[in-house]
Amino acid sequence: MPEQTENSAQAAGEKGVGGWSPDTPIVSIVNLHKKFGDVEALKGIDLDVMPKQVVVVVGPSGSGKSTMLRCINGLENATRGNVFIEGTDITHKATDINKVREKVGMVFQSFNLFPHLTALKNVTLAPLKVKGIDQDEASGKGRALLEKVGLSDKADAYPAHLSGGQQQRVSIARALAMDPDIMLFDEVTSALDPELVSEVLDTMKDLAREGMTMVVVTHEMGFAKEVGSRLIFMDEGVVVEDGDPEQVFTDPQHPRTQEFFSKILSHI
Amino acid sequence: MSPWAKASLIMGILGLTVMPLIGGILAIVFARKARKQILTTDFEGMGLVTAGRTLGIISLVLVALGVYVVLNKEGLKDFIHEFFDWGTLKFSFPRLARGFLVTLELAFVSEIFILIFGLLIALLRISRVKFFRFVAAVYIDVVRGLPLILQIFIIYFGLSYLGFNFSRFVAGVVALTVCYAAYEAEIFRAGIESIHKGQMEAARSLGMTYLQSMRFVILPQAVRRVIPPLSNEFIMLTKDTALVAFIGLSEIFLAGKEIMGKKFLVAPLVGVGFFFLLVTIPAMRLVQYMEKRLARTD
Repeated sequence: MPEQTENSAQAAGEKGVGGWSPDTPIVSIVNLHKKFGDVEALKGIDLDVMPKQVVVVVGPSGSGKSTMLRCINGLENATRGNVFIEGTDITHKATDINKVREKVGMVFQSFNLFPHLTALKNVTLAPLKVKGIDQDEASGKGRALLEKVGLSDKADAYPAHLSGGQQQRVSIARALAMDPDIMLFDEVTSALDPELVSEVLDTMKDLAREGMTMVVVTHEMGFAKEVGSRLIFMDEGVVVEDGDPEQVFTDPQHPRTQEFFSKILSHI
Repeated sequence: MSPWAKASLIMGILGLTVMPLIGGILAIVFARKARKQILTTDFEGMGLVTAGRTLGIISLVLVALGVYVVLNKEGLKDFIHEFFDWGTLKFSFPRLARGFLVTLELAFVSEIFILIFGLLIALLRISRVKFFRFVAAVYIDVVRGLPLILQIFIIYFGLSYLGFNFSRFVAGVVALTVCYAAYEAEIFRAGIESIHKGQMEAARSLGMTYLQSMRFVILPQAVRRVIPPLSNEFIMLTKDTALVAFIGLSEIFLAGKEIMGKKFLVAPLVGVGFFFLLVTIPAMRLVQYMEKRLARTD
């Protein structure tokens, strides 16, 4: 697609590749479209995430939240439009996506821990193989991260022997081990038993307090209100509403947002 | 449950032990009665009925065999002499043992190349490059569509006309590798594809390349899953090495055939069979054990 290359080159020129600074967006999504066959999951998303922001993305299922999140680290390729991470256009062919992913951690709904490795080895695998640091350094750091998520005693346990909440905390530690600048959370509490949700949310709250830039797709409205610095409401592949969480909850502007919140907030 | 079901089983057992003919007949008769009752009522005890009837039939067959042997002593003697002549078996043993070492060597050496080559083809088969996928698919189709014996002949004779002079052993290794790699590639592919795609995504999201993710995350899990089917293939391979006898490699089957030609008895081939069973039966039990263990830990 020559049009796309032209656009991205132009946009990259404006932003200046590598010219990222703390007061420019750390993630910048420009006119993002994504089609799966004939189904258009994303119909033109524009979104800038500033450093240290915690952006909470809500919306009905099928609204494109997860697809947008997966476009941010290139797990899905954009059909049209651009995604800039710290100034680098990841939709550009010449971009080394693996380098960018080192800076973008992701936590999944289904944990996706590596079942053949212990908790500690799950955490240290990528630093060892991608960054090439030595075993001792990786283990030390891995143990520190497991302690941070409250699982220092589970370092040698295999994922099958951990509860869902513990597995999800290990996978947060695993993502943090690469020292990411941005963390993506894709409905990370949806597969958990209700009593295990809070331990994962607490870990995420700690992370937000430390100043991590986070994009969080979730159905946990309490978390959005307490921790979110910004709330995005998506529906049918577009961003419908974007604002301060408190304000969006209490005074949603768009009828679709009003309808969504009236449905889910009525039974809290 | 029908009382006839139990009666049938008891008669079956008696038929096999103390009262051959009558017990067997009664077991079958009772089984018929029980079956009729059970079908109109609750289906319970069908297992007993099947067991009783089977024992009854076995009892009758044994009786028939016994009658045949008593009436035809000469025939039985011929049979034992032809298949189990002790002198011939003893005479064959050292040669067969030497041949079997060649057989095992052929199987093990081939298997090493098959595993490497098979994995490689599997990786091509699932590659994102269309050309690689095409080449691998054609290879697998062609090889799986041809008889192994044909592949052995083509590789040994065909290549020698082209100026490659393989020894019989090397030609055997090449032919078995070419053939079995196609089957084992499909097993590897199934194993790799059985790993949830979230595993690859998680690995890639950490900045690992496709090949790193394959090597450190996907393959360790996939290989563990395919060990039982790969072991089954290895057992098949061990048996199929006998086909290499047809290009003149002195493995165990050829050794047995040569002795048979001299003695005009089948006994040496029975000895060959004994050697194969010595390895294949324990191997099959081992595979079953591994399958059970894997099913438990998954």
